[in-house]
Amino acid sequence: MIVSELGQYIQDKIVAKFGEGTSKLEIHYDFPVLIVSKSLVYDLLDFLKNDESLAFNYLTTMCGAHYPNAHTEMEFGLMYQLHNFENNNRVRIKVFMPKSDLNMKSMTPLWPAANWMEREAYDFYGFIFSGHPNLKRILNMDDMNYHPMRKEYPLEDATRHDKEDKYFGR
Amino acid sequence: MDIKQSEILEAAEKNFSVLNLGPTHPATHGIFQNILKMDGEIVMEAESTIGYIHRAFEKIAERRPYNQITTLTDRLNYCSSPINNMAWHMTVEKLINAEIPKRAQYLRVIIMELARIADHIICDTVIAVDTGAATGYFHLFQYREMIYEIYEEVCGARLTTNIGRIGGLERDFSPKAWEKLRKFMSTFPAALKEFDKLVTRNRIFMDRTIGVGCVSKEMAMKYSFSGPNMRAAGIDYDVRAMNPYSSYEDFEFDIPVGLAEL
Amino acid sequence: MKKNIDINAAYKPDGIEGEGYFLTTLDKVVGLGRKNSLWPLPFATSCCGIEFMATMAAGYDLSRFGSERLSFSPRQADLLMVMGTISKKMGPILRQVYEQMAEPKWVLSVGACACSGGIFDSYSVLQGIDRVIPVDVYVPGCPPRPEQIIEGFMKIQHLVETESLRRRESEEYKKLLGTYGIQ
Repeated sequence: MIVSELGQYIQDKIVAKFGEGTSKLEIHYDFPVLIVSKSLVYDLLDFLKNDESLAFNYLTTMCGAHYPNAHTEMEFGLMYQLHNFENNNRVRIKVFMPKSDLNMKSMTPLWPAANWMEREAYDFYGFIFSGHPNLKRILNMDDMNYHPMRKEYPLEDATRHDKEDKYFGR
Repeated sequence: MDIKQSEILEAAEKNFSVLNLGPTHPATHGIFQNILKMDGEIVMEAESTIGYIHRAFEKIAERRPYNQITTLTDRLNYCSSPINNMAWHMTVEKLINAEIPKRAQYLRVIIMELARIADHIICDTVIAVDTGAATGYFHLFQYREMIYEIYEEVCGARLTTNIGRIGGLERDFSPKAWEKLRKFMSTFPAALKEFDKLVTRNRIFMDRTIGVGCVSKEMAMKYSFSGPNMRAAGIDYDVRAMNPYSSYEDFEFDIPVGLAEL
Repeated sequence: MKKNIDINAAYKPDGIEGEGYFLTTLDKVVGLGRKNSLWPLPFATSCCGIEFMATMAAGYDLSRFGSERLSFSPRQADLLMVMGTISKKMGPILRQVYEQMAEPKWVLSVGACACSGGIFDSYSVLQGIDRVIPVDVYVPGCPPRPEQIIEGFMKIQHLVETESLRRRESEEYKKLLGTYGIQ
């Protein structure tokens, strides 16, 4: 079905189950996007996975995002993308939270695939997933003491001495 | 009965050997580390460590203009770099709402399918080399050289191609490129069949690969497998057929799906 | 039109020749033997590794130069070919592999990422392997063509042939290793 109809269908089912005002629907290009609050995410994903008509049983990806110029409550974001193979439907769920409260419930009981995806979100942005079996850094070195993808940290290696900024126009 | 089983398992565990399949290993092809708990030759548990080749693509891409990011996408999957380039171009085209001419879309399909063949040449020859059959590697890599020559006619580079521009391709295929493409198309199927005869029904190859590391459909869904691995596990889904991009809906093609039941 | 090309069918070092004997110095013979039977250790991590696979294949055969047998064990290798990006997490492992190799050993750094970090000017990539191990020949390119890798290999062969037999015990070499912290 076309995207806006799909989005409205999912939104109606969510409102029926969880109540009014719990999720906001937006259409980005060809994806229905649902913006929900942090406390609802686990139950929402559980519902989306196990409901017979929705049946989004495949977690395509999840990742974090950092918006330093946004409102403090919306500074850090998490995005989950789900897929239903039978009807070929996709949906995206977004959650926003402030820097002071980056705790989140882990999705590993629903999909074991979320294990490494959450480790990556922890490694790069600093989200703490409760209930995760093995939350440690995945791509960076274990003794790194900052979360690199946050916008305040520079891209380049701080100890490089042969690349003068003035020659590179920085 | 339960207690006896766990006692047996505990006794067996004492005999497990721990093996470090370290970051540098000829068969891992790319570097990641596995600490394996093995019962003879069967792997009971594995703890993987990745990140030895973390190059911070996403952070670099935050600081580069649109057309310089294409060179970064080349290096994501370097065995078939044109496909990554096209994926990035199509993303930006979706953002700017650009319409690509039909001819450019068909040429993109040709290049992407050539890249798919090149990638599968590497995967097939390398699994044969790892199990001991190196001859196929030497035969089939000549065809990869032919594909490199076609890439050189189109964009100038062999491996990290940076093919195409946002909005189409940089130039039409030259007559030389069509000639090389036809030569490749006429000689490759026979070479692939020869490789198939050498390797697929070989007794030793079959003993080493059948029944090793099997993944069931449910496991593939839970662990978010994608692409050929998912199709080998038995799920018949291919993005080219289900969500066609770049005019794939105008083409007819077969999709191989694994049939074995676990 | 015939060109006067000087082709040496079989290379032989300078020496005095006679019926049934050939007299030359030991280091020339040792150099000749070593250069034509280098056993490389392909430390291939990324895209340059695929170009190395193309170099080893039938088109640009590297085994013409004597490196038929690739050794993946450092104890049995002469030449460490580092191909591909080395990240900071991988640095100590590269160093361990280098230290496990026995003298005499040479290092060939293939590709822009191994020479200087390449296009990855980021926090996680080692900006050149010469920060952790001493390098003999650098082959630039992203990735270098097989012909360039072969030329780098031939330059290593030239170094191997002309190296003095006492080089590994000399003060200068020990000082070089000292700057890297390798005993």
